[in-house]
Amino acid sequence: MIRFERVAKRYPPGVDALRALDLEIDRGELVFLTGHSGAGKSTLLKLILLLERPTAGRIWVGGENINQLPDHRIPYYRRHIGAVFQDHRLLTDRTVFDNVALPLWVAGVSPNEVGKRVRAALDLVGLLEREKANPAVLSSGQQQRVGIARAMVNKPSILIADEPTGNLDPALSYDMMSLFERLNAMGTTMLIATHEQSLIDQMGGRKVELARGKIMQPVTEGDFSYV
Amino acid sequence: MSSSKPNQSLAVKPKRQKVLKAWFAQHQFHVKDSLSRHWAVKRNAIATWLVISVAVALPTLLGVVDTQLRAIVDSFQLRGSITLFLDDSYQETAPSHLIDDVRALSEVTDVVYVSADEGLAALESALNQPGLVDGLQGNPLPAALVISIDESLGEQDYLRLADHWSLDSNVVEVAIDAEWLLTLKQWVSLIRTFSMALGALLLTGAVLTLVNVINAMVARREQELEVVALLGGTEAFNARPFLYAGFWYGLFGGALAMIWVQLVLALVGPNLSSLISHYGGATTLLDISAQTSFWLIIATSLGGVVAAKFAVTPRLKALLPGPAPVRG
Repeated sequence: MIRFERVAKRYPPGVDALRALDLEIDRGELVFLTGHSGAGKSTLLKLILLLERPTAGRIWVGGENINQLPDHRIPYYRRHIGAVFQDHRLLTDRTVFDNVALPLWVAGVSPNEVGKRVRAALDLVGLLEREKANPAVLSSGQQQRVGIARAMVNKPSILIADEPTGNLDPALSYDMMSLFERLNAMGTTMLIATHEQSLIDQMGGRKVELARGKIMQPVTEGDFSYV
Repeated sequence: MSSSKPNQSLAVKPKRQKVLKAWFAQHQFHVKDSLSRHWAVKRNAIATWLVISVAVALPTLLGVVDTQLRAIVDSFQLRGSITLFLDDSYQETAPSHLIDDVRALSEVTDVVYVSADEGLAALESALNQPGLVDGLQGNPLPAALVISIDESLGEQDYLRLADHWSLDSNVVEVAIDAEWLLTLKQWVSLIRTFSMALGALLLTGAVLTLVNVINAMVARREQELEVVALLGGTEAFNARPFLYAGFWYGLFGGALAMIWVQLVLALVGPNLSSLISHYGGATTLLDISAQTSFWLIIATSLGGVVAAKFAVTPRLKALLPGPAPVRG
C-alpha cells in the first residue's frame, strides 16, 4: 500500500530529516512510527500527505509514485488519506458536525449523504450527542475524537496520525489507541507517529523505530541498530 | 466504515458525471455557508454594502441625469437667427451685395435689413420708454441684417455660418441668438466628462474596499484554508467561499444602490422637470428602467466576484501547503 524506496529529505541549510529510508506498509496494516523528536516521524507523514516532496528516492502509495503527481492532482490524492494531528486542527467557528462534514463537502458528497455519514462517524467515536457543540467547549480527548471522525468520514484508504495522544492523559491515550485499533480492524491502513513507547507496547501492530532519519531494526530483542 | 477500493490510483480526478454532481453539491454548500457567514457578520456586511451602494449609486445617478439632460438640451431648438451688425456706412441703406450673398445660401430662409433708426425705434418700443432716445446726441446703434436660419440646422451649422459672415469687411459683429444654448451644451459635455471621471474614481474605491474586505476574510480564515487543503480541497474549492462573498457584497450593494437611485430621482425629478419647462424644453421624467437596474445589479455582483478573485488568488497561492519541486 505504501512503499518508501531510498527516500531522503534534506531541509535547508543541509539538515537531513530522512536518509535513504526504505519502508513497506501493507494494505490494512497498523504501523506505529516511534522515535525521539527530530527522528523524522513527522517528515515521513508529511511526505505521504504530499505536504513535502522528497529530496531523493521514490514513494509509492496505492501503486502510484506520488512524487510524480502534478500539483493539480494532489487534492484528489489527499482525499484518500485521513489525517489526525496532535493539535486537532478543528475549526472553532463551526460545530462538531460541520467540522466532520468538511471532507465530504470538499469531495462534493450530496447533502443527504453528508448527514448520514457524519452521524455514522460521530457514532463511531462516541460523540453523536455532541454534534451541535462547538469544538472549543469539548475536552482535549473529545476534540481528538472529532479529529478522528473527520479523518475517517470520507472512508480513506490510509489514515495517518501525528502524535495523536500528545495532549492526552494516559487513560485517554489508551482509549484513543484502542479506537485506532478498532478502525484498523475495519480495513484502513494506519500509520501512527508517536513517541509513547509504553503505550504502543500495549497495542498490536508493527513498530517501526526511527532515529536520525533512518529506521532502526532490532538485531536481538532490546538491541537496535540502524538499517 | 470500510476503506476504499484496492488497486485504484488514489489521485484520479472523478468521472465527469460524478464531478458535475460533486460540483453542484459543493456550490450548494458554499451558497449556504457564505450566506450564513454574511448574516453572522451583518453589521460589517451592511457597512460594506453601503460603501459599495454609494460608490455605484453616484455615478449611476450622474449617468441618468446626464442622459436625460442631453435629451432635454437636444430638445431645445436653435430656432433663432443670426444677426450681422454692419459698419457705419450702411446706417441708412442695405448692403445689397451682402444681402445677395446671404440669400444665396441654402441654410438661410429669410433676411431682413434693420436700419440704425429702425433699430433705435425697436429698442425704444421694447423698453417701453417713449422719448428716451430724444436726449441722445446721435444714434449709437449700427444697422443690422437679421438672418433667419433653417430650423433643422444644428449648432455646428450656426457656428460655421457665423464664422463665415464674420470675415466680411462690412460686418462689425456677428451674434447668434440663443447662444446660451451652445454654452449650456458645453456645460453638459463638461459635466459628462466630470461624471465619468468621478464614477471611475468611486468604482475604483468600491473595488479596493471589497478587495480589502476579502483580504481580511482570508486572513481570519487562514487556518480553515490550510485544513481544507489538507483534506483535499482544490484551490477552486478554497477560493469559492470568498468569490461567493464578493458576489453577495456586489449583489446587495448593487441592489441598495438602485434603491438610492430611485429615491434620489423621485426627489429631484419633479424640480428638474419644472426648471426645464421654464426654458421651453420637453418635460421628461428622470427615470432608470427596470432592465437597466437589473443589469447594473448583475454587473456589480460580477464585479464583486472579480474583486474577490483579485484579492484571494495571491493569498491562496501563498497559503496552500503546496509541495516543493523535486530536487536532484
